[in-house]
Amino acid sequence: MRDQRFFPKDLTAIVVLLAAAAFFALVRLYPIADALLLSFQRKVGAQEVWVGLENFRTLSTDTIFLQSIWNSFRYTAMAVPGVLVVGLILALLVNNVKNTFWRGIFTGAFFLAYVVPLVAVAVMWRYMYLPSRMGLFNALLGLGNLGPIGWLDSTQTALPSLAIVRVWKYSGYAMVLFLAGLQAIPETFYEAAMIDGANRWQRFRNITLPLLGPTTVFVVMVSILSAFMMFTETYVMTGGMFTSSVRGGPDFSTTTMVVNIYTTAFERFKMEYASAMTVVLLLLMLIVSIIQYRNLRPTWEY
Amino acid sequence: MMSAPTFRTEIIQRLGRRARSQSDRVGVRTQRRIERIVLYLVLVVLGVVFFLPFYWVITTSIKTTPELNLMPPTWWPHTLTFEHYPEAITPEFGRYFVNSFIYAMATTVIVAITSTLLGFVLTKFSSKFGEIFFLGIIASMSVPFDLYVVPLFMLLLGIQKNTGVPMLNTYWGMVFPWIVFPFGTFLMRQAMLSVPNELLDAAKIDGASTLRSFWQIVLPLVRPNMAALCIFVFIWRYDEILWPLVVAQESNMYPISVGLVEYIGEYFIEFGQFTAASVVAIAPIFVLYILLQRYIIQGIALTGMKG
Repeated sequence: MRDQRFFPKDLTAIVVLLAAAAFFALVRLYPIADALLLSFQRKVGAQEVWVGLENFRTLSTDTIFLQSIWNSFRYTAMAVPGVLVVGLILALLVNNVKNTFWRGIFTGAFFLAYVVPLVAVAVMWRYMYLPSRMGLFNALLGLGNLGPIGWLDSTQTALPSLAIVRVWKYSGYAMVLFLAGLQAIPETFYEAAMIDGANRWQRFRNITLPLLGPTTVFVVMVSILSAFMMFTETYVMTGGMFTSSVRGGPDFSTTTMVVNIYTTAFERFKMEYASAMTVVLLLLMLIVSIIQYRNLRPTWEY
Repeated sequence: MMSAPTFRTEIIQRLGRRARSQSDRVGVRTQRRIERIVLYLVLVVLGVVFFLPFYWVITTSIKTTPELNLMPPTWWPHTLTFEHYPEAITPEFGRYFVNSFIYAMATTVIVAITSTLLGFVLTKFSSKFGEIFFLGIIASMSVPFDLYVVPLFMLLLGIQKNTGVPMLNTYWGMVFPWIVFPFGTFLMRQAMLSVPNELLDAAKIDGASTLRSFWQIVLPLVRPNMAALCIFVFIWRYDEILWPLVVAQESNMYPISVGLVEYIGEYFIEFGQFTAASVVAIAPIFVLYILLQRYIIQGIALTGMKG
């Protein structure tokens, strides 16, 4: 390792680095510090007053806040396994298509949902989830004399309905990653197993699944991170037209942590309280990251 | 020494085995064919299920209003009409569209420039400071952007108050936090690692300035990576709702994502109109996807990119 200087020798490089670092500190580091400071304060009139841990004490008894944490966890627990399983099944199926043309068509079709804007997607799902027979799903259920289900209108089904949208939208993304993982598994492994007389399930169980480990870990980590921060689905699909409930409803059953932060900060204008929530969420994310890093890291390579 | 009966049995056994193996082969072939047909069938059914939402929104947008109010709904449009499209594309809607394009485009251009330049400096002028900075970039990639919304809003507010530069309700304010984009910096740094240092040394000997060798030698080599980055940044920012929603204070600054929701929330409009509106909102990304499909999928597979 050669001796390294603290700054590069080149003037242009120094300018670029310093400018970027300063800006990075401004938009990525300072805001975190600011949120931390703000979370210990409260606005009294036009004055910020230091109140210590009061915001956090209020948070610990704030039922809506506690429910929002619970909702975020529930939503993640429903959506992530769905994305993972559907994505893997799609990848295994598509991987068996040897015809390049059809393979491209199928890959493209399943991946389309990931690319199109989530907001527009959520708008169309909202329309399909109409609680009357006018909605597509209830009309389909009607063919079998089932339902109608309230979907977004009932506290029981609202959050699962939003999780279904995520499974639909992100399975294609998981599929593409799994496909790349499948292609990296050497064909000789399967040939050797076949000579030993391993059947299809045994080959899947003992070769494919373990060797997809690193891909799976990546998909799980990315999916958890994104599902935990869910905002758009609730914002677009609840409240407003066709429904009597407010956004995040019915009865706060779709109010996730980010939704709660947004309403607290920008509809009720309690910036300090929202900052305290942000800090709690940041800590939660930190814990989740550490657990993932500790437990999901594959300990071997091939 | 082989006795006659055993010899005969041997032959019979061999013939039998051959016959069996031939019928096996035929059996395997038909089995394979059946498997393939089942595979394609399953994939087509799944494809139909996945495409259903698109089918539904597109067909809804071209049904007539009386047909839309039927219960249960018709499965396909019995009479075609495009009347909802001009109704949906109001001047405000056009404005949302333009806002989205300005926000997504400006962010894409800025991210492409800063990420490439930073990747270049970080790899070709390695230094302690650069390494520390890169560690910070990596660490910040695990903090989701949505977490920054409240403190970043306060930051924009603070800048606006203290310097008098308008930040809230401006394009500039929306683009502001993306000027240094950690993921882009990471991606372009990885791309720069494969650019040989000898090329730069040669350019330096020939008297090229740093910026000139960046522009004329490095940039052409990393163009594919840059293009992938651009496509994704554009798609993500076009789709974004939370941050633009926070920065845009008045409806004339709304991007299409916020505008679509306003469509549902503020005024009661018909199914036909807002399905038409969402079809129009999806259209640019859909076209982009059709044109660059292979590129986009390869980009995801290689880097696992995600907003």
